[in-house]
Amino acid sequence: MKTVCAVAAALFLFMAPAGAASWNVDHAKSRLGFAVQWSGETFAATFKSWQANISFDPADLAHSHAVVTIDLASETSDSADNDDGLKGPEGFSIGQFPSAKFETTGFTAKGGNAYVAAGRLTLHGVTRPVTLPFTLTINGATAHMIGKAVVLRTDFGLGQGEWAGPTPVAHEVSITVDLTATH
Amino acid sequence: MALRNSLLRYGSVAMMLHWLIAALVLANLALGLYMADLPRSDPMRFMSFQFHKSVGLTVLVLSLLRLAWRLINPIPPLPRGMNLLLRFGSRATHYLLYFLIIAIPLAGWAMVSSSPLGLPTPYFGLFSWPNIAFLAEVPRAAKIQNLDMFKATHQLLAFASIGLIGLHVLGALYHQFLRRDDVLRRMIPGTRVSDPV
Repeated sequence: MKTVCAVAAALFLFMAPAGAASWNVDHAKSRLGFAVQWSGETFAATFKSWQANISFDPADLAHSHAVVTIDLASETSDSADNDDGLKGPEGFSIGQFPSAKFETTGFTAKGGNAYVAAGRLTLHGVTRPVTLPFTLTINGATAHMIGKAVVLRTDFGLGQGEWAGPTPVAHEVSITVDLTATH
Repeated sequence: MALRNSLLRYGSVAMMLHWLIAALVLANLALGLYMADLPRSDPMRFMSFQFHKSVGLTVLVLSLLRLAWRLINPIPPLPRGMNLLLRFGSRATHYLLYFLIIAIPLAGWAMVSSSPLGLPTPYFGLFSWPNIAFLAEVPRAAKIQNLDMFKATHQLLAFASIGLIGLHVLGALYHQFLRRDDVLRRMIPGTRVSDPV
């Protein structure tokens, strides 16, 4: 018994510097996407392929950390025409910038199950600070996170030529995260 | 050279419209086939679509003018001695070509108006060509459905026009080199026509 305790303690000590608990995203139950006003209507799209590396502990925000990498070519909406346009040189330019990355720089508790993740978003070759307010519900080994970050696409140089202006595609874009993870 | 058509030949207005539209249609068919296969990452894609739209709308306007001119200007009659099948084939080809040079750009304009992209059509960069209002103002889901329909129509008619243009050219060559009549010459500026049909 003493040995077991010692091993457990050693493991704990060994793991501690790695930070908070690691979470595995359940992609079947998670959605990552964005919404923007397009020709006076809401255009919503999701990314089908992305990876998240999440260590999060509500009791240890200082050691919580997340990195999300998104394959922009996996953007999917209700229209192939929008998808083509978005991925083209006037939009994401996926030939040159195939992926986007969000890496947190810190978490703040806002009371209850509300938090704010501060981070840096790299998109279209530009890195900008982005804050992502979210709510987190932990139920046993399952966590459900819902968040929305509002960014200006022009901050990232997204939208060239006909799409530079605020019409037909608004400058303000909501990045939406609905994520279920287990650990 | 007379502006109006005569019994012998086409007038300069009809000739100008014919050859101008012919050149624009051939250019736009080639551009359409080229740009449809361009990958989305190709920077030429966007430019090509905008140019194709401007050329197509020009074809539409010229074709409507041409139709009006045709309606107030009888064309020279077919030469004697053509059998019923050739007479019918020749006229049917002409009428269908008239239909197509109006219907294809119209279907293209309907496509643009139904596009969920909502991009403007800067006519050769000069002014913004309007969308067809009743198509542009329907909800997004309806637009996406309409777009599929107009796109299929635009493509089908464009491919049909390639076949008909081939037939039209074969007909002209048949008149020129097999029948050796004036049918092709009366559409070519500066040529002499001898045969009073």
